[in-house]
Amino acid sequence: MDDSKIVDLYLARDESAIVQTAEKYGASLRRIAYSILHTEPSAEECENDTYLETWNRIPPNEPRSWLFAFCGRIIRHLAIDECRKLHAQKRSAQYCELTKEMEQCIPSSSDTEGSFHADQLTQMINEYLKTCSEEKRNLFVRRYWYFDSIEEIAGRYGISESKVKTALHRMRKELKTHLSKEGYTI
Amino acid sequence: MKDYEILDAVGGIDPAFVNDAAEKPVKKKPAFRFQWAAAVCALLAMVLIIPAVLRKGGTPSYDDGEQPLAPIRLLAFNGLLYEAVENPALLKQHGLPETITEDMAGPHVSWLILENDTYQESTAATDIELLAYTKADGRSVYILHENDTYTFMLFCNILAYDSNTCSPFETLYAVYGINSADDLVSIAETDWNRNKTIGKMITERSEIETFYEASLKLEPYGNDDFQAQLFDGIEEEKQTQIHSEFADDCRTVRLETADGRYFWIDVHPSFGWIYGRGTLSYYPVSEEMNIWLQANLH
Repeated sequence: MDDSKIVDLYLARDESAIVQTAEKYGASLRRIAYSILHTEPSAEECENDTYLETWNRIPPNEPRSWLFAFCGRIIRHLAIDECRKLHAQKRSAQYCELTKEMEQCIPSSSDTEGSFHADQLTQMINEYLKTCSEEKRNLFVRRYWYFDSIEEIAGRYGISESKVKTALHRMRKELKTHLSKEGYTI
Repeated sequence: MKDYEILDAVGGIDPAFVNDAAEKPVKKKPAFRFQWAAAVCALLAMVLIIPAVLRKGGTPSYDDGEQPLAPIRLLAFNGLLYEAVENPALLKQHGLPETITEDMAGPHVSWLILENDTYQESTAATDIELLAYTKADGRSVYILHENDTYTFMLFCNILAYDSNTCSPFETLYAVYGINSADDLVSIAETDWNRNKTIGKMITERSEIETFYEASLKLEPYGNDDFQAQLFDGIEEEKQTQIHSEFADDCRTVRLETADGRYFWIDVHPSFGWIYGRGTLSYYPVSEEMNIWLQANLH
């Protein structure tokens, strides 16, 4: 079913909206959660919570052309939150790796003057991604939005793992510089 | 703001970016095994050009009657490419003795088989054995034991996965067993065929330490990225000219290890690049490195 029609079902408070969303995007959403949680039950729980959250958020939101990204944002948030609550030793290696990489993008407070809200940070990341080529941007999005492993990204785009690592390393450095220039601080 | 919050913030990026990345890409053809091309080019240069130049300069490096086009025997081992070297002049240039004595051959490293002039690892015992070289640290040289003869296997370059593979200086140092500036004893500029030292040989500890630390911070570029940096947006005719200028700008710098081994890097001061040779990677010269080069290169 077309995304717009699924959103119509949500707006009409028709519960089949959830069934349609699950049919169309369930596997992809669960995969995102599984990528950093690494347990099926937790990923499923996140998926179910995502449908509930989507139900609660539409309306007022109407993501007719971006339903997957909308649900994806929710499940990412839930999965990250779940990981964060876990004791450090129980966190998945993928989560630890991703957060460690993201740490490199955060300018130190001495680099900047002000502090910003999370939405402003998203906006700055968006601005930075707009300056990147589509090829580079896709690598970034696959890694930090979809939580793909380096190996998966290399396989997907038919490039070497070292090329993926190098490109991401440079992008993190560029993003850090961009955030610094925009005055972002911890 | 914590690390996980920035990861969470990525969740809100433009949905168009998310959709773009969801599309199935058209897979590129597997890249040509660049390392073989690089190795063959480098080795052909070594076998053909260097002896020719040495002869022209009146410095015989081969015995009379020796074929300059002797078969090249390569070894791909643990991600590195090696070449069997018997030429005394080349061995001397690399800081190795002409002959291998019993005390130089260390413990067993691997069994090998030879296929198409390339040695490869074998899980079963064979009559070709790779041995450690006891007089040097790292993985830059091994000894090949075959038919009761012993031959040095010298490190040529890392095995690159594709034409854009790159490695930091740290990788190069690790191959030569260099774990700190103390493992480097001298740095000197040489002529292009690596025979003659030009200018002063740097042995001051502080200068070597500065170079070592600065080199570790250099960012590696694979060949594709390097080419893009140098040539993108430049007309084809002009590119040829820049290519020649870049080659003319090359300064060869020799590094000597504490165990008497030598290896080389290329510095292109006017263009602000260093080529790592063994890493097949390019490094933009940092400000710190630039100061060092200006103070120390002839």
